[in-house]
Amino acid sequence: MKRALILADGEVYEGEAFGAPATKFGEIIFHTAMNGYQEIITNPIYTGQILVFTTPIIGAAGIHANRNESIKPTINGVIARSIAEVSINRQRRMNLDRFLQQYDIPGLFDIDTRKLARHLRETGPQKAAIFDYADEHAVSQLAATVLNNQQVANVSTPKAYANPGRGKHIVVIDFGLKHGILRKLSDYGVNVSILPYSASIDEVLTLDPDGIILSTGPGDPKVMPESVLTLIRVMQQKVPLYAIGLGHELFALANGAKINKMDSEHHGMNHPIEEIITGNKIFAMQGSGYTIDVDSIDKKKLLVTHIDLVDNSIQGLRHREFPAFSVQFFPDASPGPKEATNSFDDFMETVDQYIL
Amino acid sequence: MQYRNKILIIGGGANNFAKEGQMDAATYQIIEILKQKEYQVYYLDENPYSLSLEIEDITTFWKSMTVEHLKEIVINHGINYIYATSGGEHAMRLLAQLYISWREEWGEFPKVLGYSEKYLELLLNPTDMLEFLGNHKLPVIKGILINDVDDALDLIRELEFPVMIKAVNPMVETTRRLINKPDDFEENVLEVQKQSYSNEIILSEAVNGFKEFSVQVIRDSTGMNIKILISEDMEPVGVHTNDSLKVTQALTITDKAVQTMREYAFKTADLLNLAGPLHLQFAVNEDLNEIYITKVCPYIDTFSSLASLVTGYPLIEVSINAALNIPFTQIKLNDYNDKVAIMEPTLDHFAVVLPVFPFGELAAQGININRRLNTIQHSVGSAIGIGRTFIEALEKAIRSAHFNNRVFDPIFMRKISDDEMIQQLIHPEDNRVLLLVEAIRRGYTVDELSELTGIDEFYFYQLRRLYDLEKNIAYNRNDRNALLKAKKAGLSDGLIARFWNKSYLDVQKMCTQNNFECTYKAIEPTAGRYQNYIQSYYSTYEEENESYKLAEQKTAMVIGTGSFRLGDSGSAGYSIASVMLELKELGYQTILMNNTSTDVSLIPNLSDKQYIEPLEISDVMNAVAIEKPDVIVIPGNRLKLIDALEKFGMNLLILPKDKYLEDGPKKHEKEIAYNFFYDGKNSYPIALTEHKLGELNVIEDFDFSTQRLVTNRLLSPGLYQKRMIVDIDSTEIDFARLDTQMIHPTPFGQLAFLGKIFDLAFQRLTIKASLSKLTKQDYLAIQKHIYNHRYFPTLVSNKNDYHLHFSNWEEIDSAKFELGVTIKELD
Repeated sequence: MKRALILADGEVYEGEAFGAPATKFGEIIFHTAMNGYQEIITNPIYTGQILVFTTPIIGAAGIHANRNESIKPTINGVIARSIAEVSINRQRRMNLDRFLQQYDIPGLFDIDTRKLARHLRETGPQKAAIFDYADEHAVSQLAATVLNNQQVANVSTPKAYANPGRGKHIVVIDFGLKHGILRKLSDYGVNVSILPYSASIDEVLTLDPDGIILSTGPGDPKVMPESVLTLIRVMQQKVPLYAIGLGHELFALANGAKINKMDSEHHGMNHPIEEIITGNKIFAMQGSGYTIDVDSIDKKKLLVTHIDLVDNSIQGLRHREFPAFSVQFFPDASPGPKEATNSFDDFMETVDQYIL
Repeated sequence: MQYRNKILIIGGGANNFAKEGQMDAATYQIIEILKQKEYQVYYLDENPYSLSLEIEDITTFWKSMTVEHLKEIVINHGINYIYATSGGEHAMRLLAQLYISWREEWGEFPKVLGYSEKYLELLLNPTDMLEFLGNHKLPVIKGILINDVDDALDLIRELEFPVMIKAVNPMVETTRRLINKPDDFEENVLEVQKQSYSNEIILSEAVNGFKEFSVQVIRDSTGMNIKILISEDMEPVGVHTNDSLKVTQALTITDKAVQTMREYAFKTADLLNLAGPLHLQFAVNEDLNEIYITKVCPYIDTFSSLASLVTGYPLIEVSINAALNIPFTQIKLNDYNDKVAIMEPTLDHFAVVLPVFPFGELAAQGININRRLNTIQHSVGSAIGIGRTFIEALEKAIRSAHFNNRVFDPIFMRKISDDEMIQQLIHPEDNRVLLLVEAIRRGYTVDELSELTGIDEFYFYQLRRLYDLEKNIAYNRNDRNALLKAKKAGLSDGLIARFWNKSYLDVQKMCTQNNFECTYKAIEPTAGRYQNYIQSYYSTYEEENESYKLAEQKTAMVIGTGSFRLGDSGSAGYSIASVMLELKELGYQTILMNNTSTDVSLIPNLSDKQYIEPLEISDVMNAVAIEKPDVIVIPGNRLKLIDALEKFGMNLLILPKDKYLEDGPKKHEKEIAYNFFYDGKNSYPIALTEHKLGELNVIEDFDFSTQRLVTNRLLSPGLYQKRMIVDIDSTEIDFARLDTQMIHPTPFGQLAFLGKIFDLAFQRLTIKASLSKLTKQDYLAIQKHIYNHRYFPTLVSNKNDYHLHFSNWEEIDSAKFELGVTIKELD
């Protein structure tokens, strides 16, 4: 069945439908990763967005329950050049088409995704929608739609829960937590408590954490309530703090830096990132639309630890006074290269060595 | 004179299985870069088809590649640096042997670029390399060393079959064998033991049935690693990787397995302290959570040349910079976004690689061989199809690899009996893809086929789409939608015409009437994320076109030979590359069409633009429609294409080449050939040659003034010959008889060989003659060549172990088939 993708700037792409027969709106972005479509689709950082995969096919590895990054995917659409059929068997109990249908996510394939990516490269992300027909009604409906910018509120856990372990106690503030972070923490056998993004300082302190992780998450960090920044300012003084993705942006904001929207977003795993202190170059999964204004950093407070060698965006910060640091990229390798995972080691070492 | 660093480059040597033009192509680029960096370059190669041996302003040695010759060059010329990475496995092993045999009194050993001296010895024995990695906790399959057959036989009862054996210190490049049952054990052990210099074999657990992947990475001297490409073989382990359909993406495994392979590849590059490319082969079983490294290639090989072509990442340029200790972050590249060297390539196109098998050509010459595929390589080359979907890429690869092969005719497949079908499903042969499509036609389910073949079901779902598509075309004659679907799936006008029983011109007309125009996409490494200025394209049927006519200047389109003939892709690549060099010299911008990643003609800077496409009429015409070239250069064996292009009024320049391989000399015969250059008006004698089974010589001191044969007016300039078969013992040449023989174009291989001997680039002269640009100096060189050159090596068959690869009974003359020829100096 034919369906259409309409962009706010008037571009229309007609393709074949797959997934759910739903009409959905969202900000459209493109992703250049060649593997890991399941992890990307289920990553809460893409809440409310329509994802274009530049890789020529997705779906050939099936869907595996243990590769999800959230229990319920929250994206609003998937665009691909082609999708693969796979058999359902003991190892693969689900395929991509059924998976998207189950979660009411529409998909489109057989469109010129290269043209679309090259277009989005010039325009940056924009509002878009998947419709049955690209008629005037659809165009005006898209124009009238205001996209929700409270994505964190939509995906953060509404109440605290625990993932018990016998080791140190790590509190994770959930801004749209991806499972990869919990998977990594389980490697260290730690005791984990996950709190909603709206948790108060008292709620955190009551748990007597040995360390805090500010999780990844979707959307604009500047729309987050001031209370989050206050929480960060207080907690970074008390226990080791490790911030990832949106958490990294909030950590920077809490310490006085400014955040800018990137002209051209980068979602992929092929940019080298330099760890400045060692000179090591690593690759990691990246997905961000915002970056820290390098000139706004208070150098007395924060030290830049990592930098993207392609777009020069700041990829890591460390507090000069407190045991707090952050990375913009995803160090959990789910999906993505494994060489970035050592920042978890750094954090756990800091937690182990930290004495109040 | 200012002191310059003297660097010796070791070439790739003679063509062989898995060794076509890729080493020469890499070496050519590397030498050009070293020249720009003001190195004084010395180059040793024995390959008569080497383009690199013809580079100006360097010192070349066209000699047998031996340790003794290497040593002489190093000592006599005061070499400071030595580089073998671009020469592949053969060159690296030679370097290792030189290093081991080096004595202090000969002076300091030159600095090895790109590879650590202390690990050179590991290259001599693949088993040692794997053991080294195993000792550093990388996953390799543990083997048992056996040097006595009786010891091996004692193990039979303890072994769980199948098992894998391979030679230690191997004499040939492929010794790995899979043994499925105890009955076959002794015979195989004895055979493989003979292939080992030390009479030792390694016996290990077989991982057949595992999926097979190739991973290409590159590392710089600061320790930065970059993954270039991961590819997946359709066939599981058990069929040689070069004999399997290959997709340039890891499709059917999870990201977790992909990242694990990547991690192991980076660790291997770190352990070897590499500054250059590394290709690893993996066996993967995700269900068992097992991943093993099965092969380590820290040099340029077939896969690295494929990786470079399909990703658009300038792997060779980056490799030599890395070897010179320039970090990736400081490499400056032309035509690319300035960050390309440090970014991991990401693709938005499919490339399907299909092996090219020589069985058809060999059978036509009366040589019968076992067609069953196993762990020993049978293919003699490969062809690429690039498209936006798997089907499109596959169709284009089939058309590129086998367009003239009867075995690949869908109708021919229907004659296979059901019993044969099952046999071939379980024991793959060269007709793999069409056999699988035929099995789908006969009603096998995807799961049944996957079970029988060990191939992931993804491929069968795709092949089922292909089958449905072909059925749709056949049942919907002249239907607009069926035509569009067919074009989007990569079918040529000619193939659709066959389904509809029409002429390709009718199909082409229908496409034009319906505005079905093909578009071209760039082959670049960022999936459209960044602007690059790479002029390499593939066609598809999508909305946006990225290829436009080259700037208003004289343009020449050069049609490559593809990779469809036994062995001659090496000499054909050389010929096409020479043509492009000359066209450039004459002020033309050049556009190349070709489809094999190992071809020397695909050196990026040799042409101004490249189309990686099949070479059927519609493919060529589509590119012609965009480029509107002033002249099209085309090999003479492409008769139908020549005919079609002439009908369209194209200005053609034909490189003389026979369509079919003629019978050569048998065991008690020899072939005498009178070679002459025809400039369009007159003929100039060049050389009299004598070709016996396995070797070809120039007959020295022959006086052409006394015996000049009659040469009629020919269609186009070039090097031609009259030839006749005589008894091997005959000493007198019957010129009267020779004069009555038909004129044939001199085969490309002999042309390259004679060109090297007489220092005459015949294809360049052919182009000049065709464009009336021959100079007085050219004529002087053509007429006086015989007096200037006294170095007459023999063109000989390389030590290809054909029996190992083909299990043939009849003797194969590789000098005729042009696979694996080298030179032998006269003592």
